[in-house]
Amino acid sequence: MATVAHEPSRPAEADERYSGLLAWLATTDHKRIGILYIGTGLVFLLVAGFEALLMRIQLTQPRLEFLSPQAYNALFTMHGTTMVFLVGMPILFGFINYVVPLQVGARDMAFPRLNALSYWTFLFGSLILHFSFLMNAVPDMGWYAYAPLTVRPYTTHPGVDFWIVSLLVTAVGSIATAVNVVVTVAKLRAPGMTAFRMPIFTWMGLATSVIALYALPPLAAAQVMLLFDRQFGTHFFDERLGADPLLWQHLFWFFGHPEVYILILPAFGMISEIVPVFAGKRIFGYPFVVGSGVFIAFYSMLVWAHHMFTAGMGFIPEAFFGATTMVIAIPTGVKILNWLATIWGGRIRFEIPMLYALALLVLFPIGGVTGVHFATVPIDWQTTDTYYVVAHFHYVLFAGTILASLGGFYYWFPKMFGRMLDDRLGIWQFWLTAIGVNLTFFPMHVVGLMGMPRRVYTYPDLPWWGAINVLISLGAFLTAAGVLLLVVNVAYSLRRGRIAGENPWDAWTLEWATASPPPPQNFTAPLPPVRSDRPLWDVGEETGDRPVLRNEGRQETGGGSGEGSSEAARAGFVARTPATLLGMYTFIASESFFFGGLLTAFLYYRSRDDGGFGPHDLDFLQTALFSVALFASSLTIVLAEKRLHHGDLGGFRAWLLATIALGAAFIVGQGMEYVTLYREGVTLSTNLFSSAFFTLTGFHGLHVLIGLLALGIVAWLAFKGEFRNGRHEGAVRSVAWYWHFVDGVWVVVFTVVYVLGMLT
Amino acid sequence: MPVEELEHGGHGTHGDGGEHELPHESLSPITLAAGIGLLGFGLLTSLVFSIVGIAVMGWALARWIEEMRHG
Repeated sequence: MATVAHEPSRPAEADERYSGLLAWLATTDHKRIGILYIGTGLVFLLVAGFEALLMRIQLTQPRLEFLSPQAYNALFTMHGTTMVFLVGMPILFGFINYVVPLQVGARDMAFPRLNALSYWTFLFGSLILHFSFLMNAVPDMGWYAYAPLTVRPYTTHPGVDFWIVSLLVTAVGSIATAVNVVVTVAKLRAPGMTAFRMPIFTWMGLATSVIALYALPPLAAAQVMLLFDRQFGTHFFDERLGADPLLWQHLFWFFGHPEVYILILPAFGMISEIVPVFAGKRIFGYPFVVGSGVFIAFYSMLVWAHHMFTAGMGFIPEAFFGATTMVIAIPTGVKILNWLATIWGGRIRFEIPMLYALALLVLFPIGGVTGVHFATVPIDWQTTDTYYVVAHFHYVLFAGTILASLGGFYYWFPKMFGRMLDDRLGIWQFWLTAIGVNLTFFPMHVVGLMGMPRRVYTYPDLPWWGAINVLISLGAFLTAAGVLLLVVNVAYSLRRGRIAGENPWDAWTLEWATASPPPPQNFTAPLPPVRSDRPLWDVGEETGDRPVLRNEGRQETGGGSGEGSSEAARAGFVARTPATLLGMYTFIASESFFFGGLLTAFLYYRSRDDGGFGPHDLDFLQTALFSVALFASSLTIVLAEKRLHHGDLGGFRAWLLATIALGAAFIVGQGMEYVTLYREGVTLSTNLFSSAFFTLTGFHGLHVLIGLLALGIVAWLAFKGEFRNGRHEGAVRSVAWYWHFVDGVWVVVFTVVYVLGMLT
Repeated sequence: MPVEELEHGGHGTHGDGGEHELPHESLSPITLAAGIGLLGFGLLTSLVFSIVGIAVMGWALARWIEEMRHG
């Protein structure tokens, strides 16, 4: 496709209410928000990199005293937390934000304001974490915050609280982004872009969002429990009262391992875009590349406990999680083989994005193979908590996520800013980074197998340990030089870079069918027809602008005229469902996992009878009575919806008020129960059961209150005449579904807490 | 013709079929996020920040709803 060179301008907004800095603060444009995410991630990369360099200086020689043990602990905690939550996630979500709407041919994300809220909550959360430096309260317990080590009295300073609250705030943004991505991909795809014509990066963005939706809420639940233990005297992780010391580890790693896939699947998506474009071929085995990513997205919730092989879980769980972990290597291997097969026989262009893709192809498998080592329980026992583990996960996350992100950055930078990054600086940066990464992390395998422990601020002067650590530190500084060169390159190229044009790489996905940078509404001309997964090449072949490649004739993929009824049904369901309602369904699915975390804790502890407050002390009949009110409110909200649908605004208001009254009655009932228990001396801190009971029912009550607030807003708007002629009906249905969810959760909670309590 | 093409009215239109309303620039999201941040920060330092955070959240939410009503 011919490219049109033009002088790039900064991305403009759809309107001009604000200018300068205010325009960025008020933006709802997915492109600007994507750039903000990526830019913030790069700033935190410099911060976390600086922390890593300080640690490497300390470890250059045995028994150095450059850092105190406390300072070292704080640095490795902040480095890990920052790299995972404030570098990897925002950079990848930034690319997803920028690229996915363009790739599916949409003008923006499904919920642009929510998208802006996501970014700013992420930013404020990350600032809270770093404010701990000013408060002399830097977290120093590792990014995994293992309880009971992190509960009082073992950790008294507030670093843990900063860690919890900051990550809870950023999680709000991450979950909102994930909901937004799911709805954008489901609702806003271009005509003809059926599931199997979607770009693979979009697929991986979707898969990543699914993981974030189910993995982040259990972590939030665990963090809430830890915060309550530390601030309100609950006992979730207090082994002195019989708490299970493994509960935190289970909940944390149920998030922690899928998090690895949150960080690697978008990276795989980038490689799946770059490799075929620069090999000049269709990707080999598109359905397998997509299918393996989707498989990983769901299967990754079955492997968490391989992080706990030395925790004493017992033979059967260890065998189970060892086996499941080995299996997950297969879909990852499938992708590697598909990329290799794509390159095979291709006309390779060794542009910088392709160099990073090739580097990943060589280096990532090192991290993958050592991951399989850890699935083997006896090997895990020998190597756990050594530098072998550090080597493994840095080959996955640095040689995987960061190298792919650098490739993606070189690939999409011209689209974002209209100028090419400088090639000479880029080549220097590539080799510095590639050599630095290997010099840093490969020797860690060796010193790890020699037994050097990680998470310790110094080490004994044993043969070769000092020499190997000198190499590692040298590699870290080379890598840092590479990252700094990227900063120089960006600064230089934004002013002096070569004009990119629409499609400088001769790529085929829809983001390359518009100007660079794209206009506020993304596309000014009609989109090209989407008849395969590479619409721009199809157009070129049809018009004769590009040759039909050998063995690469246009193949229409998925969604042709013979499309199955399930596809039609799916499309029908999505088409019928308003975006707001689809977003609410997605949010509800995610929120279910939050309650799943709290219920897990409750079920852990409900049967640990210490002779004190327990299930038998609950007032079943009174709670049943107020529960009937809540269950009835689901019926009244349905009646309200029906009245609205029939245009009966008066009836709508009446049933809405009835719903609010019933919900309020339930809250009053719950309040009465709490007051009665408090008068009997039962509080959050009485015992394990009371901790789990009040936290579970209290968070449900909080959700009811939020539902009542939403219903109150709808009622207020209804009395202002807002819902005439079906206006905002989707929003009303969304609030109604949230209310049904609150009711549904109570069905489960009431059954587990009260009915089972009465029966036993 | 694929189902979605039929539903979206054929080639040429965007993914949202032209129905996806792009909002104006708005300071409500950053204000609401600041409120959430203050609420969290107050839990770590002083409840005054949390109370201010809740007030800011309420104000931002009201503004957000007004913007949605009036475009």
